[in-house]
Amino acid sequence: MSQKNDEHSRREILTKGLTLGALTLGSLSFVQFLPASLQSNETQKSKKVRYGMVIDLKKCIGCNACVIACKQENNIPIGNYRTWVKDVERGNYPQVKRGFIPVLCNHCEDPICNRNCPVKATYQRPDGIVLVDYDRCIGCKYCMVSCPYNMRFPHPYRRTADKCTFCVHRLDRGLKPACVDACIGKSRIFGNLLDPASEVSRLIASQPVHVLKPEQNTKPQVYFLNLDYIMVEANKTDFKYMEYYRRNVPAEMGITEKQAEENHTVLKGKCGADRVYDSTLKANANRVGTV
Amino acid sequence: MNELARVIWNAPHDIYLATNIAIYFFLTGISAASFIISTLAYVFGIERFKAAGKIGAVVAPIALIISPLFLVYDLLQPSRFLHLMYMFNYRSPVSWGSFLLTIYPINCLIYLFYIWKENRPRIKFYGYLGIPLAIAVHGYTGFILALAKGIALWNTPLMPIYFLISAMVSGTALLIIIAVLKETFLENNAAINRFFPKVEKEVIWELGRLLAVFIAVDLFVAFSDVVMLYYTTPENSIVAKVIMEGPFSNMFLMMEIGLGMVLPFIVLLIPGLNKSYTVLTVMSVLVLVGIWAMRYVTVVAGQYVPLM
Repeated sequence: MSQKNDEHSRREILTKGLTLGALTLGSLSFVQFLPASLQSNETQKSKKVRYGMVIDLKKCIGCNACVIACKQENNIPIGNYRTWVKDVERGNYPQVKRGFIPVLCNHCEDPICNRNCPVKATYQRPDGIVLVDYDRCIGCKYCMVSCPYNMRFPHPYRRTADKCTFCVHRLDRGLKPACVDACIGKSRIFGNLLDPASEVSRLIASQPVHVLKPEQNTKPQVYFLNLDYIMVEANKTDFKYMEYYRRNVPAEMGITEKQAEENHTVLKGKCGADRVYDSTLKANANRVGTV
Repeated sequence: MNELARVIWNAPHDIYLATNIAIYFFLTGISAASFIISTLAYVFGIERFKAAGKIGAVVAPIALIISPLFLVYDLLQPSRFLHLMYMFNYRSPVSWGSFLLTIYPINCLIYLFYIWKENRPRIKFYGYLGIPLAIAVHGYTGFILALAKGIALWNTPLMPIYFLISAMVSGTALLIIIAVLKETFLENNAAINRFFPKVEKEVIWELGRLLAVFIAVDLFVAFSDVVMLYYTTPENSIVAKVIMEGPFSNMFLMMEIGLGMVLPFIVLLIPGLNKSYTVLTVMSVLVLVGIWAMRYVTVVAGQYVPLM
C-alpha cells in the first residue's frame, strides 16, 4: 500500500518537475527571441549617460599600448583588431613627420551596422554603446561591409561578427575602457558626453574637434583633436600597398592558423572578456556609472 | 607624383563577401529574368514565345532553389540561418530578402504547375503576382549593395537597375543556349518534346535581337556608373581607378565590357551571323561569362579599397 503511494507521489513529483522544467525552458527560449536590448537589465541604468571618446592626436606617441591592452582585455585573436593605431608618414624628405591615428568603433548615434543587421543582433544601449548579441548573430557579414570605418571583423573562433564594445563589462563596474587606462600620453579621453562637467564635454565644447567621415551621416561619437585628413586618406590609391596589407597577419608573422587557434585556446579557453583585469576592481566594484 | 602621406602600418582588412555572394547574385538574376521572359508568352499573350517561355518557367525555380544554398553556406554559422525567419528587421535589405527568397520560388512552382496543367486564368494570376516578386527578388540584391553606404562602388542608386538589366542579359543568354542545345541534340526526343514544344528558328533569332537590346541598355547603365564614379567624390574616383586601371581592370574591361558585352553586341547586329546557331550560342556563353565577371567585380572590387 505504502509502496503504491510512494510510487504515486514519485510520479506526481516527476510530472510536476517535468512541466516546471518545460515551462522554464519555454520562457528561456522566449527570452532568446527578444532583442538583447530588452533582455539586459543594466540598460535601464540611466538615461543621462552617453559615452563618447576624445582622442588628442598630438599626445599620441604610437606606443600601441591601447592595442595590446584591448587585445589582452577582450582576448582578440591574432590578426584581428578592435582598435588599432594607423601609422602614417607625412611629407617628403627633408620635411617629414610621423603621425599616428588610433581608431576604434565610433559608437555612432545613427549606426548603419545596426540598421543593416538582418536579425537585430546588433543593438544600441541607451548609453549609446553599439553591441553585438553573439547568440543572435548568424555571421552574414553584412555589418562588416556596411560599416564605413571597417571596424567590424568576423571572430574566427566564436564565428560571429565582433567589434569594439567600449569595454562595456568594465564600464558597468565603474571602470574606464582598457585602451583609455593603458594610454600613457593621456591621448584617449573617455567620458559621459551628456555631463557638461566631464572632460570630454569640455573639450568638445571648447576645442575644434573632428570626426571620421562626417559625410557618411552616421554621427560618430569618437572625436579627434588635431586630426589631419591627409593622413587619414593616405595611400588610398596605391594598389601595391593595398595588396600588401590585405595579406594575412598570422602568415606574415610565421604563425600558421592552427597555431594561432591553439594559442588562443591555451590562453583563455574561451572567447571574449570574462574578467576585468584591473587592480582597482575591488575598490570600484560598487561605483557604477562614475566614469 | 609625390604622395603627401604614406601608410607605414595599418590593420589588415579582409574581403568579407566574395565568390559565394557573386554566385548567388548571378543565379537570382538568371531566375528573375527567366521568369519575366516566360511571362511574355503566358501573361502578355505573345504566342510565339510560348515554347521558349516554358523553358524559362522551368529554369526560374531551379536557379532560385539553388541560389540561397550559397548564401547559407557563406554564413559564419550556417546552422543559425533560421534566425532570418523569425528575427525580422524591416530596415535591413537582407531581412527583406529572406522573405522574398521564400515566397518567390513557391510562386514560381505554382506558376509552373499551372503551365503544366494548362490552366489559363491561374497561369495569368500567378504570372502577374510573379512579375513584381521577380523584380523584387533581384532588385533587393541591388539594394543589399547600395545600402552598404561606406563602399563607394556599391552606394549608388543605379545599383538595383544595373543588377536588373544585367539579369535580363544573362537570363536571355541562358535561354538561347538551352533552346539551341535542345533544338540541336534533343530535336527528336519524344519524352522531352511532350512537355517542351519545338522552339522555332525565328523565335531564337528574335531572342538574339532581344539580347542585343538588353546588352545596349546594360552598356549604357555601366557607362553612366563609371562616368559618375570618375566625376564625383574622392572615394568614387579611387574605386574607378581600381576597376579601370587597377587589379580588376582585366576582369572589368576585358571580360565584362569587351568580351561580355561589346563583342556579342556587334556580332548580334551583323545580319548573316546572327542567324547561325553556333554563333548565337558562342555569343551567349560569352555574355554569361561577362555577367559573371560583372557580379564578381561589383562584389569584390567594392571591398578592395580599405575604408580606414
